[in-house]
Amino acid sequence: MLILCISILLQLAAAALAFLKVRRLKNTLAWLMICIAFLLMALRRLITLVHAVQSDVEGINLSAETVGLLISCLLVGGGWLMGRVFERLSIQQEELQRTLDQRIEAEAQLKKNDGLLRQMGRIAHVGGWEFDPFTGKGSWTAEVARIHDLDPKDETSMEKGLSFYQGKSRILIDQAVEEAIKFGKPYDLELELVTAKGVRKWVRTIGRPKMKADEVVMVRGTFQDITEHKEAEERIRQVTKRQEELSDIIEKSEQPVGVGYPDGRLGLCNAAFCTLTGYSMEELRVIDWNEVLTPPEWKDREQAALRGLSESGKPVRYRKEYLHKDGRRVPIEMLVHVCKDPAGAVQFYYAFITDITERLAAENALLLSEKRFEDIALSSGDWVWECDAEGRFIFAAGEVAQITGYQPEEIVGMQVFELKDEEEAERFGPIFREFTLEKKTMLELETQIVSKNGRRVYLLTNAVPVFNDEGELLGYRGVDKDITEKKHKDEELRKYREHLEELVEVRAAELENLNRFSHTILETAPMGIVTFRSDGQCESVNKHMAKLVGESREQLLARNLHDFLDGGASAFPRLAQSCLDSGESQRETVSLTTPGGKEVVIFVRFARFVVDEQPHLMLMANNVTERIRSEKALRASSLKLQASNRELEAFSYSVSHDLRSPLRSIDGFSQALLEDYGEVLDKEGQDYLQRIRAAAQRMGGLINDLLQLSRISRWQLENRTVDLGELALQALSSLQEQDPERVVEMVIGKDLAVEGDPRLLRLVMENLINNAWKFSRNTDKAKIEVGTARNDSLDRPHADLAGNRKIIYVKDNGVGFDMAYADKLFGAFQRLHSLSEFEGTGIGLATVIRAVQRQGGLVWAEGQVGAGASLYLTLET
Amino acid sequence: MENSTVILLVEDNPDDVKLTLRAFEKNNISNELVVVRDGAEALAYLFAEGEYADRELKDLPGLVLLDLNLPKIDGHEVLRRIRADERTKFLPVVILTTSTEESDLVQSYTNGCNSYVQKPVDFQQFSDAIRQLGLYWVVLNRRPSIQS
Repeated sequence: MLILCISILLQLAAAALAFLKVRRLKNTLAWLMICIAFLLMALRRLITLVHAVQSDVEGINLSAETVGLLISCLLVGGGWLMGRVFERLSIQQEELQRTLDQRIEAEAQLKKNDGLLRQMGRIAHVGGWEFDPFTGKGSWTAEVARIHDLDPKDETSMEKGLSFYQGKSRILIDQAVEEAIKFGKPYDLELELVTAKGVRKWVRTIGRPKMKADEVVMVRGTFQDITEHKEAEERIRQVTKRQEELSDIIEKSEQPVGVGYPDGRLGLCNAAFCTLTGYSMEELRVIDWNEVLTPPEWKDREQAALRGLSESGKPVRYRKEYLHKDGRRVPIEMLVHVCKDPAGAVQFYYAFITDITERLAAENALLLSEKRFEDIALSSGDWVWECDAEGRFIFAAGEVAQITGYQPEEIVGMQVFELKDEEEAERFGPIFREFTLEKKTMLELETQIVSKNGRRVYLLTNAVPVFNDEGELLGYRGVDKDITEKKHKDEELRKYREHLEELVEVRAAELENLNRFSHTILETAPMGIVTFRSDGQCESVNKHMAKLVGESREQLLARNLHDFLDGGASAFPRLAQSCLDSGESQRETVSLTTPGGKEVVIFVRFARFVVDEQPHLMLMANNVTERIRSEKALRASSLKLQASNRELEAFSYSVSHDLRSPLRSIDGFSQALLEDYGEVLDKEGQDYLQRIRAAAQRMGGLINDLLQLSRISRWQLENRTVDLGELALQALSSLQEQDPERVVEMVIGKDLAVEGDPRLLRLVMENLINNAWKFSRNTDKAKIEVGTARNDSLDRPHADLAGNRKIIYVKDNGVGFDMAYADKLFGAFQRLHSLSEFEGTGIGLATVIRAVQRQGGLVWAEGQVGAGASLYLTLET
Repeated sequence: MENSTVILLVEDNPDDVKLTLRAFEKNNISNELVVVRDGAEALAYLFAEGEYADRELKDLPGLVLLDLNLPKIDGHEVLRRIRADERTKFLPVVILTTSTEESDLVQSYTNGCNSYVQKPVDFQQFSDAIRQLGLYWVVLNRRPSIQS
């Protein structure tokens, strides 16, 4: 049993040993199998043991087990030994492998390094070389060959390597190589060489001599193409130099230059900038350009300009002002550039600043001067222009619109000939060509244009030629004055002058005629006319004067004012003097005795007139002797007439009052007698009384009519429009009322209005209508017509007398009259019928004719016995 | 007819006076007719002066028939004075005259006559005129009381 257990333990130990081997050795599979075999054996023993325990210990084959145990021990011992052997083998193998790996790795590294070296050499244009100083044999890397523009496969040598250097470089390299060989002195040179292809290159060659027992056995070195580097360096050097120059320039520049940051800081500024602003460099470093240097009103503008600059990146130029340290304002012009970072953000601005104080002053002066000239040019009422050599307008200003009707912008581009009509263009063309050819100044040139609205405009042109630097004519610059009005006035003046001349001629002729005419008038005038000079000398005498005075003309011409007429002429000098003094004509009636001894009364007038600026006197004399005489007579008879008129008035008044009273008594008492004592008287007595009464009444009627007649002459006349038809109608109506039984056809025409005195015309119409009424009493179908007659329907003398005046007639178809008695018709108390036939006083028509004549009219009658009568009348107007 | 009303006739022509009286009579106008022969007498009567001094001033005639052509003071002047006096200014005055002169007519109306009647030659017409005058001025016409 014990043996069994030990066997199991041994087998287990062997298995564990084998398992360890598995982990430690490479031969894993073999050891694993061994391990399993031991485990299986251990398991078999364990089963045996269990069987033994369970069944009986006696069942165990002790010997077999003891052999098993021995075998196991052997196995474990053998295994352990084998393990050791295997382990040993395995370690050796691993070492071998490791060495191999290291070799491979080193090779790869070497290879890699070589590649890198090559690559690096190619990229950095670096290569290596060596040569033997004794033999001169050498080698170089491919890159070195390439730098020399040689094929890397070609052989090389020291001599060959040095052959590419020339000049100074050759001297330097020869010296360095010699020293390296002789003294082992390393070198490091930058040299210029010319490659096999003739390209100049800069190279850096570093030489390291390899010593062996104080003797140089080999010279090795690196070789690098530093052309680019050299160039870059050169560039940098140049750039640096330029920058230095630039900053020197900027610093020394008189133009202020400054760098400003968006945050308001100032960067680099030059001395001029300091001068401009008045601040020192130190001060500028701490001030804010936007806050301190920029006046408030410019800030917005500047910011706007800078915004534009930031967006576009294009430099901006603008004007602003700086606030100088001392408070002054300095006008400046900024030229600002922007510098941006790659992201596009503004890094800083740099500005070139110009102090434009003087420029502004000059500009202002220029502006002022320009403005002055412009004002002068424009206020002159003229048209200011500029044209090219072909006459095309390139500028127009001033009163161009007023003068040409075109706006300045319309005119510009137009050719001067476009403004002219054909005739003027033809006239002006050669003139213009001549001017442009000879480059002459246009002085007071009269031209014409047709304005936009078709008006002809006369212009006075003044222009100077404009040249370029080469002296070629560019065009003209000038002023056009509108002289149309002046032209018209000149024309009018010319016409007027011509007209005047004509007039003068006509007038001279007229004067000649007038002179003759005056002379004739003077000679034939029915008055004496004498002219005197102001000193009294007689100058002219007409025929009538000679006749009036009774002396010859020659005698009179020898006289003067003072002794012109003897006697009674003392009034002449006085009148003459008043006339000369006052200039007003003087008149007087003078009685005098002529030299012939005749007593005459003359009416004299003195009038002053001027001939050749000398006052003259004219004496006009009318012999009024006869007139005075007849005037006296007339006055006397007029007085008589007035007296008789007054008597007549008194008479008619008394007639009116006193003449009728007795008649009334006669009539009244006859009536009383008839009434009171009628029965005492027989029929004949009564008849007598009736006759007395009738006679008295008739006489009353006569007196009335006579009074009427006499009054016509005394009435004050009025002048009005009177409708005679209306008056006729009234008269007829009144008659019809008195005699309602009568039937009379009344025809009253139209257009019967006349101008005249209403009372007289009433009287006229009443009388005429009364007559017509009366004399048509015995006619059947009596007819009374009132109307207007046409002139040509009348007989000759009356038609002539009536002329074109309105003719009115009153016509009846009564008894008429014999034309033989027509002239008796209108006399007072003239009657053509007996009283027993027709009552009446015979004054009616006398009244009519007087009433009509008083108004300047005419009356006439036409009639025929038994066929009626027509009474015609016309009034003055 | 109001018999009590006095009519004053101013007329110098006796024939005319007689004829006027006859006309009154013929027309049955029975009013008292006082006749004065000239203008002065007419005024004396009206203003109760001179020979009429004992007359009652307030008893004015109802109508004055006034001729124009009168001795001493003519009819125009009489009319003027009648109209000029407060007591008589409303007195009806009819001009009864032979005159047909326009000037007389105008002057009479200017002076304030109440009527102007031209005496016709024909008595019959005259009589008619008198009748109408009497009828109108004595019977129909009303006038303000002088006393008030």
